[in-house]
Amino acid sequence: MTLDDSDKIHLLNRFGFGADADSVINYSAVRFQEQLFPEKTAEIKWTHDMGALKAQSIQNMVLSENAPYEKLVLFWHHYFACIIDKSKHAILFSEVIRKHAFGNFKDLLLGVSKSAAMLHFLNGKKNKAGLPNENFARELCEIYTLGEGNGYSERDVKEIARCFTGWKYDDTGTFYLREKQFDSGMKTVFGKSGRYTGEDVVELILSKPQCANYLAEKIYTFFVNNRLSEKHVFEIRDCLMRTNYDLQETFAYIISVPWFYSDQNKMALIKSPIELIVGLGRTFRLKAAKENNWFFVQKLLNHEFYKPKNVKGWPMGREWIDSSSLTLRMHLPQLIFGTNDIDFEVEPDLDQSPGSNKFVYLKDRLKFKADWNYFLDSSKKVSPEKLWFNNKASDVANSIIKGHKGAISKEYVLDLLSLPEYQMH
Amino acid sequence: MDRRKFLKYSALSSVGSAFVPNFLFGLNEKLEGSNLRKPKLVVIQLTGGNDGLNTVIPFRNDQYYRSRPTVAIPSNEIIRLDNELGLNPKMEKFSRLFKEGYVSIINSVGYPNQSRSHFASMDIWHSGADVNKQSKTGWIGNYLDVLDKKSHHALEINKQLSGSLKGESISGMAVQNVGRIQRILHEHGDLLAQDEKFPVGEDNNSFLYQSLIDINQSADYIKEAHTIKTDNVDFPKTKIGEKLSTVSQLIRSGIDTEIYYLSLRGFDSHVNQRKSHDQLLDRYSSAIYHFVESLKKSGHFKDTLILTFSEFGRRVSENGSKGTDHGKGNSVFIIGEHLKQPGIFNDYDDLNSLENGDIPFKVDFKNIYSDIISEWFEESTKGIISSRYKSLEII
Repeated sequence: MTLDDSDKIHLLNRFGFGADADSVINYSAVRFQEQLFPEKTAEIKWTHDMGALKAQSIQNMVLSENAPYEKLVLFWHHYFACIIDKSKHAILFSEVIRKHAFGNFKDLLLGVSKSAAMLHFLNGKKNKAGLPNENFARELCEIYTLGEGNGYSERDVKEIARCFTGWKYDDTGTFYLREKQFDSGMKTVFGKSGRYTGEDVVELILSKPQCANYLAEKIYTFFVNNRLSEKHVFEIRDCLMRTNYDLQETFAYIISVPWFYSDQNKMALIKSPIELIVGLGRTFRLKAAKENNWFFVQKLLNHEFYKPKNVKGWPMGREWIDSSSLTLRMHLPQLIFGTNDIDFEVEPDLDQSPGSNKFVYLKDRLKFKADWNYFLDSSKKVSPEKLWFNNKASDVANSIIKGHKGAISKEYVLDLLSLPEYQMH
Repeated sequence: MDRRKFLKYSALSSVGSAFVPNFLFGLNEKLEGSNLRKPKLVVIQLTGGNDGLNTVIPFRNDQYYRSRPTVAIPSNEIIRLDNELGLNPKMEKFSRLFKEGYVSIINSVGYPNQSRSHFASMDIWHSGADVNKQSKTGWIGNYLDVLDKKSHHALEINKQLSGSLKGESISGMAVQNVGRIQRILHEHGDLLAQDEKFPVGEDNNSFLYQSLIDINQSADYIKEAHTIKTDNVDFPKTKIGEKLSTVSQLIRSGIDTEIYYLSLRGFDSHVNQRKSHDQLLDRYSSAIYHFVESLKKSGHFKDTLILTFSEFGRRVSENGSKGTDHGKGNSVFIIGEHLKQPGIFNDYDDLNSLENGDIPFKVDFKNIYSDIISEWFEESTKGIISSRYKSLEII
């Protein structure tokens, strides 16, 4: 199908971190797909300090030439919410996600399930024959595949836990099976019996339509609209089932159907903080005065890599918004452009620094340098109003836009960035 | 005057007092002689994991003294509450409240499969959900959401909002951030001046615009209510004293806020615990005593319930640094004028039958939340607390 400018902007909002002028002007579907499904992804030289690693994780998104792919990576970090304290585990976890982001969901699910991070987070490493720990089995069903109470029973959870017994990781974070702790007996899962392993259970779960439906809903909520359309979710579900959970085919399907570009889906979602920051980062080619500033801005906005609130993950949509967060988000451009004189702080992280008692003040930790000339050049090609609001600005926003005369000034850009519309995409 | 008109008048009125909108006050405030109950809850969070065993101390227990050669408090210093338990010597003022019959002490409070991470355990206490059914929202946020309240109905006396007050579509407000919120809103005064043109609808953009209106209103009003400095007792000049003085002012101002939330930090006592921990308890005890005095004077104590908790207790045995590490069950305090069961609700279990060196949990903290919602606020717990509980018959 042919895409007009508004469609392209929408596509780059959802599969990407906002549209830039060059991408809209030079758009080609082939190029876009190359970015979304790159043949080879850049090899990352990961840092091993946890704070720096979080900074690096967001910098990857700001600097990447494949923003659409990075957006898929962000989606899976949301989907497989996992609290990770060790950088070694966090790196391995990220590598699994990056490797399978548009591969097959089964490989991704198994890779995440076998990661040291997940085996630690949901106590899988403590799950032994005769002494089962059900934590992972329960969340596997409830959060990662089927949805709460959706096609499995308490009995299934118990039996599934037995299938994952003996899953361990070594000092390097590599998975192995400790045969002695594996429960090799008969198990009954979803009414079928066998000497199932963890891998078998993943197959059994994926064969249930509830699993495809659950994944389809999550994809729809993140990439399309938080108001579910039953019809469109079914289409995604069918695509997942038809392709045996091939993610590339599924995402390619979504961006090929007209309903993805429908008026009601455009500018309908509230950005997560990371989407907001990365969008600003790319638009203004932000450079942090110190690299860890990319970490502090995550802390400030409560959207910290490897640290979702709990297994349910980070907030979504309206859940991000309260009085403090909304005003802070409107003010974020001032922080970044350095015209701010208000200090902000975050609470000490007692798990990282035991006994600590002091707020961490951020005034000097949020400095970024914007490439204003780059921005001005691009805004001559496609106006920022068009890129940022995609014809969906409210009356009040439009009156500010219409009231502006003359060349684009910093003040005017700050006004635009402070509009509630800029919180949307 | 309708709501939109009111905004025109109140928007960014950063100076002077002038105009406090009636709808923000409880309706019955104006009905003199009305005996409608207006329950208030004050939640005090002891951040870092308060050492319950050096707060409510089993002074006859050999195991307590054997396990804590340097950290234990000598039995002759302890303020005795009964034949088994006593309070930290720094809690003399708190013990006066206890002796008046205003305090219920619940020991061994926790939840199954206790987490020893501050972050994870605090999240569980904040959410009020079962460990297996974790939630993105907090129990107080759920209260606001389910009962269709406004932001200012739950205020945190802090710079930031804790997870407890996060709801799905409505969250409480952080009072010490109100000045900052106003400054930011002020910088965008041109936009807010056009509030009549703000979009209205079910879509997310309208939600953001309408949220701005709510934030602006609530911020103005809270600022108004708490800049009137009128202490009716001498609050101690400590952080917790100042926070409770603020709560007292807000309560006495007649604002219709129902829940106040504050935290006292510094309880993560891994190293040289005695001095710092005693000092924290001293500050807590003194501040809470004056707070109760203040409310008694103004006649608000009968309508106020105070809950004190911490994310976990500490291990029974001290560590190698004259401190204690993260444990499990802990003591919770409920303070109020007409408690059904003042005093010590339950003793510690035998410290000799510990769960890997920890006090096992006997009372689920959600049971206490549940009682507060159903018995103090007289509301259904549905959608607020994830499980149902039989009343502890304390409140």
